[in-house]
Amino acid sequence: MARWLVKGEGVELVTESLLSGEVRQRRIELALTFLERSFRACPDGGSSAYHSRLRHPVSGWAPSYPETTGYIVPTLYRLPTEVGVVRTHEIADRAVDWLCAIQRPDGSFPGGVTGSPAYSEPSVFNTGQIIQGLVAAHHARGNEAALEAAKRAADWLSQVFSTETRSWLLYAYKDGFSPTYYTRVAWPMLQVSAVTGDDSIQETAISALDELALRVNSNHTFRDWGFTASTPAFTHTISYTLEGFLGAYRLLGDSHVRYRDLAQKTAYELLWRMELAGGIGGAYDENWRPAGWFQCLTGNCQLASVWLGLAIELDDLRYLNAAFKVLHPALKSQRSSWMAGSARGSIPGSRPRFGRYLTMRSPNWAAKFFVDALLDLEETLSSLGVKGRA
Amino acid sequence: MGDLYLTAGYGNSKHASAVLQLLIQQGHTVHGVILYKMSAKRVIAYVKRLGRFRAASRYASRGLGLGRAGRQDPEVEPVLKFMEKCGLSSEGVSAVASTLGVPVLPVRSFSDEQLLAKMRSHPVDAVVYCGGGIVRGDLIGIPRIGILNAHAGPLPEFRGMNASEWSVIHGVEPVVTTMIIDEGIDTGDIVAVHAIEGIPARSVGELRGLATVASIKALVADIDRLLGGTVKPREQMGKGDQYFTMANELVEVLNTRLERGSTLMSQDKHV
Repeated sequence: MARWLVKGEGVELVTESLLSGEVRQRRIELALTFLERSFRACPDGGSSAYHSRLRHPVSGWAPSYPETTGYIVPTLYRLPTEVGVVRTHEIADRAVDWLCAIQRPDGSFPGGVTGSPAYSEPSVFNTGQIIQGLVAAHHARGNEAALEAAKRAADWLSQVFSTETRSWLLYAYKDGFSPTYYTRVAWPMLQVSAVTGDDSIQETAISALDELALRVNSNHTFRDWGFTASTPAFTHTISYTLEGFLGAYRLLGDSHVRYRDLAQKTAYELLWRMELAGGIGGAYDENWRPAGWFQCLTGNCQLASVWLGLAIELDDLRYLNAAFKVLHPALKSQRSSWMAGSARGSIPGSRPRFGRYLTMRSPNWAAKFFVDALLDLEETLSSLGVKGRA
Repeated sequence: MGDLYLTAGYGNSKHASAVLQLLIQQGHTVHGVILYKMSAKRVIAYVKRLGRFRAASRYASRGLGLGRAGRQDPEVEPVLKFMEKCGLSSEGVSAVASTLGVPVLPVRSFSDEQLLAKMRSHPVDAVVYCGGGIVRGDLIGIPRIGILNAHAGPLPEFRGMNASEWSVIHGVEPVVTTMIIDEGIDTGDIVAVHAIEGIPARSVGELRGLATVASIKALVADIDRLLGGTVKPREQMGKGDQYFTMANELVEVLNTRLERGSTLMSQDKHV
């Protein structure tokens, strides 16, 4: 966001700076009002998957989406109980109640959005994502029912894990395709075992991660890190893959530093490519050929968080530098005008909005990862002692 | 005295102009100024790297020589002062080359066949690099001594872009390192390390300007030393990191630190 400002003796260009706590706070509040509306749009207690007047001309809102509602919950608990007019913890509590209510008898959670054909089937990935919200509810509110639900979900993930292939072959987003971003299924399982001390869940998670780690190519890409085997991976699923490895390392500690090393090499490769090209691509294939004409803004925000974590852990300002750069397209794309109506505060799937990822839609998870990235930025600036003008 | 060529990133470059004038004053023969022409690809690369507004502002300031609201660009100001002090013309490199009768050789790439053929047609001792694009193997092999570059940071620690800013933000004293360009990014053999006079700077712009002045002096001094055989380039020792264009936010952080005279990360961590 840039504006011209008459200042002193001349006219100067003022660019919105992410160093400003005021800017970050305003942007977080905007995104939260969008998320709050996404919850209000769904009477069941979940968050609407996305806003799109093209797909849903009347209300603009898609049905509730258990998967992303699950991982929006930790973001809401991470914030103060009230941010502006948004009662974050109240919304999260209600979402957790809904998630517990829709858990299937076998412990799994459904795929897709409510009412879709996939909703009648269990989903490995969605179960993993929902576990994150349940564990967060236990940490933030001491919610024992949520922890019990998380344990049952993690047990189900263990049960459907193939010990022969060391992977999940069933209940996938695409039949028969076991993507590398399942690292983000193993990581929530570790979150459960960290609370319950259940060794068998931990063993399954580590086994899955070790197998997924073998998929790394010599150029630091990963085989099958996209939604399908044949298409380039959006930065969204690339980041999912990295988040899973990094999250696992942070729970398991230095005995599993290999997970961080794997993720760091890929994260640096992405940083290097973004810097040389002058911008991040929306998707990359396994030879790092970019789809450079659009950006996947959800992936931008996730990558920012990945880099910010590494900036602290490796004490390397280059990752902070890259995070600033990758966040600006999301900042510029956030719909901040009143003209946006109920989509105000949202982050579109792609930039430009007709880009390939969630074309002409504003997903709830883009807003979630945007808030996460701004909160992570706050922590990184504080940890590295980086300050701008008072 | 040597048979030299000089590169320049744009026709109005003061930095290249100062180096050209000083080399001629010292009695060297400059056979041509290799001017890296603006192309659509280069404009796109600038815009991507700097953003539309910073790229436009830089073009107005450097390319067209426009000041900002009556003030001088803080990056160029120390260079102009140095030129004035040395009695050099403050015109850009293209104008100065015309006045001095040095041919200007506009190219879209340093691998331009016509350029390479011309350079191969007579002995060339060295090329003095004062900006332009990435130098490829074809050109690297032509000059007897090599292509001399001044890098605004310590090597191998701070390779790549904005090295003076990155070194200062890490609490490392900024220096200018002259080196012989090879195929890598700032990986060539080191000729000498030069202090930057006038630091600590009060702003990033001033820091860049002071580093540019130190680069001009270093290039002119080290060409003489290389031609005279009084210095032998040495291989870089140790591990290096590549740095990239500094984000606006970190430039802001650095400006704040320079204004208050503090640069070290560790100091700020405990404030």
